[in-house]
Amino acid sequence: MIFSSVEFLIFFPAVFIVYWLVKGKETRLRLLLLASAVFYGWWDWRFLALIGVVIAISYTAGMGVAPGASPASKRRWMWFGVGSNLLMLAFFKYFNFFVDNGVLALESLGLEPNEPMLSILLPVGVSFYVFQAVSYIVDVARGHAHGERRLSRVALYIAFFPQLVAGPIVRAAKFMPQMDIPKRLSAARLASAARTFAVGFVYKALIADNLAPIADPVFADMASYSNMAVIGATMAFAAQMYFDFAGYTQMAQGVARGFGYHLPRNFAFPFTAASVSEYWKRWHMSLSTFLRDYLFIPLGGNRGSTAFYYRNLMITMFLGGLWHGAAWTFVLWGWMQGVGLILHKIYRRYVEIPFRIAERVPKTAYWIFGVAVTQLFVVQSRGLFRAESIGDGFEVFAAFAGLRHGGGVEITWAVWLVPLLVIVDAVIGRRRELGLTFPTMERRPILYWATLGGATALALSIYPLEAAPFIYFQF
Amino acid sequence: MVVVVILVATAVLALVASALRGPPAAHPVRAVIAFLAGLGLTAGAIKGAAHMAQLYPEAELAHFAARVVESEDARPTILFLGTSMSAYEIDDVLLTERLHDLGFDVRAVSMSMAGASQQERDLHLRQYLRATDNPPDVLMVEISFPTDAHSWYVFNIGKFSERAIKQFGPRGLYWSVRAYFGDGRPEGLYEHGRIAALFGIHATLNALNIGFLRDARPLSSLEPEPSYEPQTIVDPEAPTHEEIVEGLSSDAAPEIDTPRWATAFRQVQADYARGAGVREVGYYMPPTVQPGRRSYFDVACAVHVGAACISGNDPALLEQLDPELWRDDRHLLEPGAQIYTLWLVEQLVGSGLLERMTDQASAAHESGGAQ
Repeated sequence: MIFSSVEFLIFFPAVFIVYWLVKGKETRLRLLLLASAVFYGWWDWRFLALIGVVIAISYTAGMGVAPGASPASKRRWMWFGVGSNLLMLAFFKYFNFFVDNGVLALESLGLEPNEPMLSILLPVGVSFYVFQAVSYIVDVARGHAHGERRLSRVALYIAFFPQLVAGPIVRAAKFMPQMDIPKRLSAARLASAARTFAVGFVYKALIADNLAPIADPVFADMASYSNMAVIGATMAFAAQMYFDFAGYTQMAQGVARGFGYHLPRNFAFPFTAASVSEYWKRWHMSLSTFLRDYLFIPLGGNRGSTAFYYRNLMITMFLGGLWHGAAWTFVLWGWMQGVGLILHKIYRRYVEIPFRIAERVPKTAYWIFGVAVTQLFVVQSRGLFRAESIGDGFEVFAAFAGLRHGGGVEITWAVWLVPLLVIVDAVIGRRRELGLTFPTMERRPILYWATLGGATALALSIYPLEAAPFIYFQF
Repeated sequence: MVVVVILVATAVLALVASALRGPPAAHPVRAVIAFLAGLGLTAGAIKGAAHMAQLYPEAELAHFAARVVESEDARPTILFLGTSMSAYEIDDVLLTERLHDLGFDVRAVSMSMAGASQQERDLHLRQYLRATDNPPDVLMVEISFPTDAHSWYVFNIGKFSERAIKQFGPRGLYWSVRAYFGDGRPEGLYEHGRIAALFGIHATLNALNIGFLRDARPLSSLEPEPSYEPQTIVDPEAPTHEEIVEGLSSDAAPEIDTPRWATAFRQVQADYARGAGVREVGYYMPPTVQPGRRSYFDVACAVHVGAACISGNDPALLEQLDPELWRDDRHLLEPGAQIYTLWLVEQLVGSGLLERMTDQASAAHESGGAQ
């Protein structure tokens, strides 16, 4: 069930009304759990079995690593919990990838292996809830969260439907205490939830879904398109991906807020980042911090030698790339991000700081230069991310470098308006930082609500009836 | 179109985002009323503007209409408006050629589509008649048994789809509700509730123009497409040869009494068409294997006094339609469609419609020339 689908527009109000009608914390928690099961089982009821196993393992391991157990026992339970969850993720997501590549490697050695054929169904959102399960076990073991004795709470933490299939990846220490906070329905809460959901809806249904028809044909048959078409489509896809994923997150936050839960921020206008390091602090923030806390720092982080630090960065970004999908394009994309981060560190260390460039160059000009270089890198790497093959990914790089053939099919000139969307979004979102004042409607509530109604009518008029799945659902 | 979409999206984004600093609290009833007023006024403005600009959902029927709307062909036109029975069985190119061979310089065009309900066909007919300066001389409307029987026939094709939503404008909703409370009512309490809920949801989605601007186009910008879809594969659920032979050789009373709503609907449609410049309105139904449905047409058409009725319930036609010519119990395969089309030519010639058509066209041409 997709947030922007008609089914969800019926499902959500029904759950919402019953949720606020029933009394009692536990009853509401159970209702949310039931709704989460319906929401997830709507895709395929068999998915429920897998998430059930993840919940059971995490619950058991969480009890095992809770305070009171011996360090050796804790270690065993943690390895069991984290290992089992990651093994399941590896099996469902990467089995065929590893087998295919193993077979290719053996064939290149002149062997003729029999390829084991397994038709594995990839459960929607498995990467997200497995990471959340891992986070729960590790946080309990570290003492950041307590080992929960009530199975239903662990289940709701892992399966909470607003963020179940595409995040944001929530930490147990931040989410589970919210289950015990008394909740009241108020006009302010409702307005805040509706507003957040509406912005996400605009991002997804209006912008992302209308950008997809520009990018998709080009990536499906890149060889037939001109240089400018490939550049335009890559730009359109980069914007589509942002509005799709940020839209999903906003809708998830709005839905969760409607039930009295707070989900963390996941995006902070990444197209305004003036360096790759800053980009990763603004893009998919819950994944970045997850990778930092559960992978980069345990690997040694930035302690030790520079080479050791860079190695840790590369491993983290390589695995971050692989997490997105079982394909070499994702692996290469992750590696590219690692290289980008290291290049920025080198630049900072050997150029920017010693030559005091930030102080010598006018601040705004330096920022614009940083944004331009960073976004050129980011957008091109998105082309690799979207490409059907590594070859197509290099076609994107060649197009940006002007090294491809000159002819080919062109695409609509309207694609050059795409940056306008990103700029409008960033200017409005960062208006306080920029010192801009927009008309406030605090004293004109009737006009405010009427404007919101008008905006909704406009939005609905270009809403695609066939709701496209969110891009991140496949991860 | 993409430009419009992106610009509208930008405008919406700016509107919503600039409204982010909204009131911390408002009287809930006033807030809801204000929101609905803004929603309703904007939706109404979009609908009105689209109507004035003659923008319509890009549907297959619209593509069929585009064949005639901007045509420079000045020959008198006979337009067939039907469902799959017409889409699969009326080869309008062959029909035009055959009429030409017989000395009638007229053009036949089919605007028919599988699963098209009464409301959907009427919607597109009106859009087409509004858009064209050259209305057809004769309009032949298919009387279709299943679409007469249920005013919610579209829900058999697809709920919540663009096709379903567009039919529930004020006119479509009026006829659906009229049938619901009249002799086209659903059976059983559950069915009543289900259909009422579906009407409500679709009418709301229609009023909100959901997805409308995304695909809306003026008819003149659409690629003309033929609606004839020759069928070459027998349906696995087709009746046996014996069943077809028995069905074609039997007589039976109509399966249902003619619903009054369907008769009234056709009457209003014919009045509108005449008002828009159509000279004659007639009715037809291609043959079916089921005798009760064939005779349904005969009874339903007889109500429209003075209108031409071309019934597929003709032994001379049915004798030619061997069992191997049927795709299923209601549709013919391509060779059967050719037989039906040629038979239709004879019926049109025999009805006197064509003479009147060409005479009137000549008279109109002469009076235009005299002026």
